[in-house]
Amino acid sequence: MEFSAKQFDDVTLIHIAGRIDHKTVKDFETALMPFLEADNPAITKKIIINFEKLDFLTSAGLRMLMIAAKTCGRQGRGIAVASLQPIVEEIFTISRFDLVINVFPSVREALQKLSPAALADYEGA
Amino acid sequence: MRIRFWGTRGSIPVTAGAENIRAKIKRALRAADGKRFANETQLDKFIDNKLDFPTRHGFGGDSACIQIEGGPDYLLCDMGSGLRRFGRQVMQQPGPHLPRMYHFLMSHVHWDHIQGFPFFPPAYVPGNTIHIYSCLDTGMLAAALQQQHASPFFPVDWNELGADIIFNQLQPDRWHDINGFRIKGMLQSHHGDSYSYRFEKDDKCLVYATDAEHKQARERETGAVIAFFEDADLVIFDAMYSLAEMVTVREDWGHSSNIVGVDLCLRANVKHYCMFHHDPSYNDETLYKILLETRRYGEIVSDGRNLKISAAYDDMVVDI
Repeated sequence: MEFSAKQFDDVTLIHIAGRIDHKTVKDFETALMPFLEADNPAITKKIIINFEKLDFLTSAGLRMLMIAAKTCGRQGRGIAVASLQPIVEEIFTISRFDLVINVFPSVREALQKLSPAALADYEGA
Repeated sequence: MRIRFWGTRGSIPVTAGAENIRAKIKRALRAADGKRFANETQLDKFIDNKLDFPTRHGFGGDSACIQIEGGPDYLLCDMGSGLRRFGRQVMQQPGPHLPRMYHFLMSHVHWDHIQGFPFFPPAYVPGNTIHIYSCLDTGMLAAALQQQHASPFFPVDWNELGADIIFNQLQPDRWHDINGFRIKGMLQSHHGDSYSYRFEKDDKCLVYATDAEHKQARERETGAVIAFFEDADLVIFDAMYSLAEMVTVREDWGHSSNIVGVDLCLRANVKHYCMFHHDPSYNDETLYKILLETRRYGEIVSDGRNLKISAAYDDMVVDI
């Protein structure tokens, strides 16, 4: 699993590649946690996770995603995922995560909905 | 080893419901439109080959009770409402009514797992012996069973039952020899605790693991579950909820999800994963859809490993 993040205005855009299963979920958690810590001055109001290069995720990965969503919810922040590959989209449907996590067809559409300022920053980058 | 499912629902028994029956009839009539059946055989062939499972059959509505055949006496897990039908079947068997021995392994005492016992005819027959085993405190277990027989809940008091009923305390994580099987119990996460049981006989292995919330929060705990399931021929698993339900609105309700079962069984090299403890609010069409989705999830995440996935239904028989 590969993880990288970049800030655009009030949004942190996270890119995930590979797979998130029981073998890699700890890496996912370790990489994601700094962006969920309320006392971290660098955290942003919103998080968008780009799943364009995610091959698949299992229940272990989905569980971690829900922990992130709940943490953001408690902090009054927002989280969404974008650009799901068809197989990942299927997993979201099967697990019903499409009903509890904001899913957008593309990063651009996610930014447009969540933060026009971040979209302008993203498109100007 | 043969496993018979007498009850497969969780929480409370359900009926098919008039609307669901009507919907089945409509689908069957549409499928049969324009066809002629010369005899019963042709009709049966049409039903078996042309109607899908939710139309021709369904999952049933009795609560948890399974029978494990292969030993000299009767061996069952839990006493849900499915136990009533098992008891009737035993009483209807031809032949001399010799005293009989029954062995029950109890996961826990929530109502859906004990409510069949007052309607279990062999308990009323003098000469029968009923052994009840659990890793739960058997004093508590006995009190729970006796309480549901007491007034005002039921008209026949526990002390009026004719059979000899013996409670046997099991120790978790240790092997016990019962009715020709090696049996070991493991504590599970559930309100008031529950236990799964691993049955081994003649190089075959069954794990009965219902009413457990597998959060996969700590690898040490998940690893213990995987070790308990390891190389099992059949795992009967609490797949009551979708994962989204399990981690949101029904978090800490003590049950697992269909896809958590897939992931655990794949890691444990299980041959056959059987979804069990179905949500009472789901009709046959919904349960069948969940089964197909779960199989699809298995295809996606299995990396080519072979895991058979089924959903238990009342009267299902599995040989391992």
